Amino acid sequence: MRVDRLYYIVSTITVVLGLLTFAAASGSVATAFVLILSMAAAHIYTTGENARRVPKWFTSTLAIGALAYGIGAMVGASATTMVLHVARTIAVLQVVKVLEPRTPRNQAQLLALSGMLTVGSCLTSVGFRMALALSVYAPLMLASVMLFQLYSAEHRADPTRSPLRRVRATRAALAGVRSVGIATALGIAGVAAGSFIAMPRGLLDDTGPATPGLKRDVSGFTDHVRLGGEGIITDSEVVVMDVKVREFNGDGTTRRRGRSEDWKPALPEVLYLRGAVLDTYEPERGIWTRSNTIAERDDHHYQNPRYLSHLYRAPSSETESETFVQIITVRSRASDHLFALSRPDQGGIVFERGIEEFTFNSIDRTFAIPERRGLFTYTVRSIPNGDISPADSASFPVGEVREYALQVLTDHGFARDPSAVSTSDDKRMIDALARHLRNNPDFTYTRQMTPPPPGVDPIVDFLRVSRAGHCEYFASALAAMCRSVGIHARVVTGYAVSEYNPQDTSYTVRESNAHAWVEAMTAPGRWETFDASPAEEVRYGRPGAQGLRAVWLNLNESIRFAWLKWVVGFGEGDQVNIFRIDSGGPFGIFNRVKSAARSTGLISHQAMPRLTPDRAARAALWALITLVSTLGGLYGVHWILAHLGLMPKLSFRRGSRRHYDRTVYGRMLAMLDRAGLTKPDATPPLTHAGRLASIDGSIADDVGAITRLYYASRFGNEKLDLNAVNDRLDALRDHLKSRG
Amino acid sequence: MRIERKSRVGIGGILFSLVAVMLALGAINSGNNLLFLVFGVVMGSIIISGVVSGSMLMGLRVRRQPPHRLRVGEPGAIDYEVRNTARFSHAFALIVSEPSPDAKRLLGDPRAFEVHIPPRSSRTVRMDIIPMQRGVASLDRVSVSSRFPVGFLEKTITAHTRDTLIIHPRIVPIRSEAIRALAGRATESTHQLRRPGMGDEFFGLREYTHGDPVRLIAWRTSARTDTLVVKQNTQRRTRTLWILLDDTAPDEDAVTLAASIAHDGTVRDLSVGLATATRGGIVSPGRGARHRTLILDTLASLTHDANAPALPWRSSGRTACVVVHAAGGSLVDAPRGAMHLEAGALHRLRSQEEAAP
Repeated sequence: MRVDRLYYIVSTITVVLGLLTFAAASGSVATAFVLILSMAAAHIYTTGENARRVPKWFTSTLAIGALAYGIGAMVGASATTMVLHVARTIAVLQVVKVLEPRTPRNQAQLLALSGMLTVGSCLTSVGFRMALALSVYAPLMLASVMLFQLYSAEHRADPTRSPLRRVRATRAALAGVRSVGIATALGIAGVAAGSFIAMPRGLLDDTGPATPGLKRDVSGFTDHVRLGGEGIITDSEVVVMDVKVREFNGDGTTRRRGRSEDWKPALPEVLYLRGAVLDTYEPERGIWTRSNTIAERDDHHYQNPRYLSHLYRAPSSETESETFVQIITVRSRASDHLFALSRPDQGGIVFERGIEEFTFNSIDRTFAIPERRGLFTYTVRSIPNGDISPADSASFPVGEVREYALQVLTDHGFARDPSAVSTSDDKRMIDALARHLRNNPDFTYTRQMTPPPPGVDPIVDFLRVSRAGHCEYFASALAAMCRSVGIHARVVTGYAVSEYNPQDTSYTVRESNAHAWVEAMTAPGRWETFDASPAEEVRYGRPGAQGLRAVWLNLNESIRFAWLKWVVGFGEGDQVNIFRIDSGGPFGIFNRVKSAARSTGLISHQAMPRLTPDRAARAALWALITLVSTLGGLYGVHWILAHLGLMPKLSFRRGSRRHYDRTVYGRMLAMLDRAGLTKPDATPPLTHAGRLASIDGSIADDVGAITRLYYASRFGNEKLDLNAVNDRLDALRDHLKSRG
Repeated sequence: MRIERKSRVGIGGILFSLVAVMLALGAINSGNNLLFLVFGVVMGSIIISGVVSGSMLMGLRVRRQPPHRLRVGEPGAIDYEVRNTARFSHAFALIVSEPSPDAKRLLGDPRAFEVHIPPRSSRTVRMDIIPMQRGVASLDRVSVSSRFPVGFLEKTITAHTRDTLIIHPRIVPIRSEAIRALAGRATESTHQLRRPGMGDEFFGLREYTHGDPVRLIAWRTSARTDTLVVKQNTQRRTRTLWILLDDTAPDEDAVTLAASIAHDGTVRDLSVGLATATRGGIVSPGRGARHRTLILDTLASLTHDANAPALPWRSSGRTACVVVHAAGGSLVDAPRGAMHLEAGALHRLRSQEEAAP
């Protein structure tokens, strides 16, 4: 096999893949395409039968030009742009290297440039495509480097030879390279994983740019609602969050529960993760926003408590026993708002390490962290039946909306005094209004937006004229109708999701799940969720996937989530959790064993005290002492038996098989000695066996056979046939016993 | 055989380590986990590379099988038996070298390459060499190194094994008329050599001993004496040529010329002796291949002693003498009738046909 040819093939694929990785990371597909074409042209020009040599001045000029471009473009550029320019310069230098003669030095530089380009790609993007690219690129780079060593070592041995001379290796050699390569790759992966986990995080949080955020589609959640727009809302499958919901058992423990399981309280089919609560409407502009009064007065800053334990404390009331704990990993984020099921508990929010404080509003129960990008995780506790303080204002311009609402209520047999603060029929009225919008065939759900005539309130236009719109129109109309008849109501934007991924027991939240709905006050202090949008039209999950495709999509989603959660978003908190014995990390297996033992009922709580690091350390020490003393005792017994000739001696040195060979021979001599047939020192073993033939032919046969086996192993470099030797030793022992 | 192991970080390894440090700083500064991951891969490459290359060379054993003599400017080879005693570890991209100073000085730091040695097997690795200088090389070490698999570390095992390699001076073919002229100066002996030999003249008879050729039996005499006797001839007449080398100044051309004359002289059956200006006669005249090797060995090990004075030396009047002068030499006292050659005459005496390539 031609090692040089194999090297060129593998290294070319590696270099091209490095360029493609950069293209995927930076989005400069055209640049990468041009560079790959240039590289191919350079390769064709400088190799083959009609190969030509490119003048040195030409390649030097190209290289200097690329460097000048890089340095010039970097002046005054931002950090991200600088990385892009450096990477582009490196990519052009790679083309220059392809133009230059294929000397080992140039090839080494080409591979090094490719590695540097990949580092630049890592600085540019952390998307899942990078994960896929790296998982292919890294083994290829290792293979290229290993083949390069084979290819270049011969040149190092004789630098005068032509670099184009063929280097050959047998198939066995390449098979050996493959096995060594696999072992090396596994070793590197192990060290890399260990280093990745153990490297300090968060030392310089305030000095450098954070992990680059994932590219986010512009559509999706917004912290305001703007009606009367024009165009089509495009769906995006970009994943925004992963939500793990845990049921709070009330005894200080939680359980992972899926949607299909029996929840207490029942988890709704659709999770409404509320983000922004919008209580102010401007009819002239058709915009719902959050009241500045509430925000300025009631947004309070809280310190991140950091400790999860208080989330799982025993409930103080019956209401609190119906609690959901949500572990939410945010993958991409376009606003400061955070999300939770209604109603989030201000004392039940814990962020991962690195987030020092957050704001929480006790009026509309929304919370946020400012200026945080990238990936992070928080845990929030929601009490669905808890009260929420009423908003200050429930007013809404009277007029066509009130007329319409009253007409609907009348049609359903309700009558409400708009000046009344609250009535016992409010919930039924809100239901009637929502049903009217949701189930009325006159109203059409569409993502195609048509602006109303100038000066017309978009809500009035929706109710009276167009009767077509998306969730924001339905929610706005319901909130407006409720307010017009005196019921407190507000629009909530967030995500409505039902896509459950059983692989990692989490709900996947996508941009396409962005939704708007209504929170209305059904009783003083009691706000409930109402969705006026036609359920069959709203995308709560990802449609169209069933059977194997659904499994594949879920698996794909889980892998992407794992990449983001455990690689891109791995942080100080994860480090702490991994090394904590009482966590769910790898070291938490002790507690899982303990829980399993408890669940059998064989071991009581008293017999299995809670495992703390201190107890674990003491247990480990005692385990070590026990292990050492047991092994020491066993070795001592073995040593005595070995010196009595009853067992072979152990040897921990290299070549222990040889040692055992000698032990076999020594055992035979010891047996003969005990039987009074001692071999004289000066007599060769086979001669002695011959002399024994005069005493007992079978003993002589055994001694001769054992000696020959020993010779074959000791001097013939053959593997000692232990079965044959032991059979012969047993036979010799029997023959000696029978002789008496 | 004592074996030393050592590791060396090459330029590539140093640069790679610097890159690793920069990656670590960048990762800690930015908190970019992908940089942490790349840093981990880089660290893993460095560590695993050391472990793999170390275990790869752990089981290697090497034995040199050198030729006894080589000649300056002529291709030769040293064979090495490299054995991989490991059970599982393959050995790749091995470079065999001679780290001893003599090898570097005389042989020009030669190296040999072997792509692969499987576990529990051996290969004979041939190191092609062209000696650069004459001398006696004391080869006391042989090294096997490899940068496999990643190239950051160069691991080397050095086996201490001593061999001596004699490198003869360069031999330049002398033009045939020139060597004939030298041979003509070699005075023939004026008396019969009174000792038996392979010459043409009758020397005497002796009793037959086992192994004597049958054709030498003197049948008539044997019949007469009733004892098997064989004929003996006198020793062949020899023509002796002394080469007096001026070693008062270092001049390799002079040594080359002396070696070439000695070589061609012995090939033409002259009895050649060697003397130097500072040491006197160091090789007595003699003939044949073994004697030629003796002279060349002597010339190979000849060293220049700047402080040694030139000794007066007289050859026998029956022998021819050619004095090879070194450039800058101080030899003035030469035998009368001797032929004087400057080291520069080498080019003049050189055989054109053989020098053409």
